[in-house]
Amino acid sequence: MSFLSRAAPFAACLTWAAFAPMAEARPVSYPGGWTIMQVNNGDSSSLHAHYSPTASDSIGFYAERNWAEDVQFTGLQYNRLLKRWNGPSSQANTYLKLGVGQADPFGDASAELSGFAGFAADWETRRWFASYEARATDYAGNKSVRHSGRVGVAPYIGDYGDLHTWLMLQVDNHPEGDEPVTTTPLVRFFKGVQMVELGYTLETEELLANWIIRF
Amino acid sequence: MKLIKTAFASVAFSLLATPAMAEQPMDHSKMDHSAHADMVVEPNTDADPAASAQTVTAKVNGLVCDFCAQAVRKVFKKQEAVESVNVDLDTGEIVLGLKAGATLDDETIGKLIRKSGYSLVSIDRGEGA
Ligand SMILES: [Cu+2]
Repeated sequence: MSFLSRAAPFAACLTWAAFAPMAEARPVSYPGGWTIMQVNNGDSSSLHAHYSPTASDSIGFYAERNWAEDVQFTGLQYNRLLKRWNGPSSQANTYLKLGVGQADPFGDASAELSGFAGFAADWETRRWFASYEARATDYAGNKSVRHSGRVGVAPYIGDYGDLHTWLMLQVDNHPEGDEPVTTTPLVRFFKGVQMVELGYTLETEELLANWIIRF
Repeated sequence: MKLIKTAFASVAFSLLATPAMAEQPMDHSKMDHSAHADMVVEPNTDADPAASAQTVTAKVNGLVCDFCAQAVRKVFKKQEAVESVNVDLDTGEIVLGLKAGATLDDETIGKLIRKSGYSLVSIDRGEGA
């Protein structure tokens, strides 16, 4: 069965997620597509593996280890493409993201029902990129809101299948954090089905490393 | 420090694991030669669309990156009538090579492009080779 053969790598990821960190980017794929995303920054590490039954939805597993809030979240995430605008050489999207699961605070506190809700928007051409995301989390009763924005430019335009490179700047706002606003210059490498991002957060002197693979 | 190590490990994992993971979801029961070639070198474009019995060029809005191209290719490759799918991001065109004797009507092409998440602008039926 196609589903079973596709479930194998997914199961491997679930196992691996137990000690993996967190992030976010491509919320939906093509019908029948799988995506695995991993995000690592100064505050948290996350793993999101999702399956898209249609080009407008995805359902998957999400786990996050958050050192800023001393908590580990594990749960299910649903992403919905609210609207897409397809232009002759551009694409823009808005997404809704919902997560539900359990959060285990570090230490001896017991796990609690937890969740998050996010709204994301992006606009992209082959040369320019901009995105915004707002995310509200309730992890074991600890409520928090974050905003994140990005701009990017591709110094050269490659053909399909080439190595694509993007220079980006990410600004994060986490009002309750020790460092409420952080700036992270990063470079994105994108080739074939995988994307890797490496950056450095200036204020906290932390490394950012994200990757996405699609199949 | 721990985080930096984790981050590097994750990137290394990504680079090492990608080919294996990309191959795993193949449905072997349905594997044919074109799918196999697709698996090994993906993503790329199919060679020589002119070799197909007939080609259809669809102008599409919203194609901006390789993930877009991959989406369109995956969706059209599932069609019985389709032999090859070439995506040109510069022109926003998808060139479909059809199998000998096969047909794919405009309505179906439009539906498949919408299903992939993109918008059809126009269809141009090429002269067969
Ligand atoms: Cu794209």
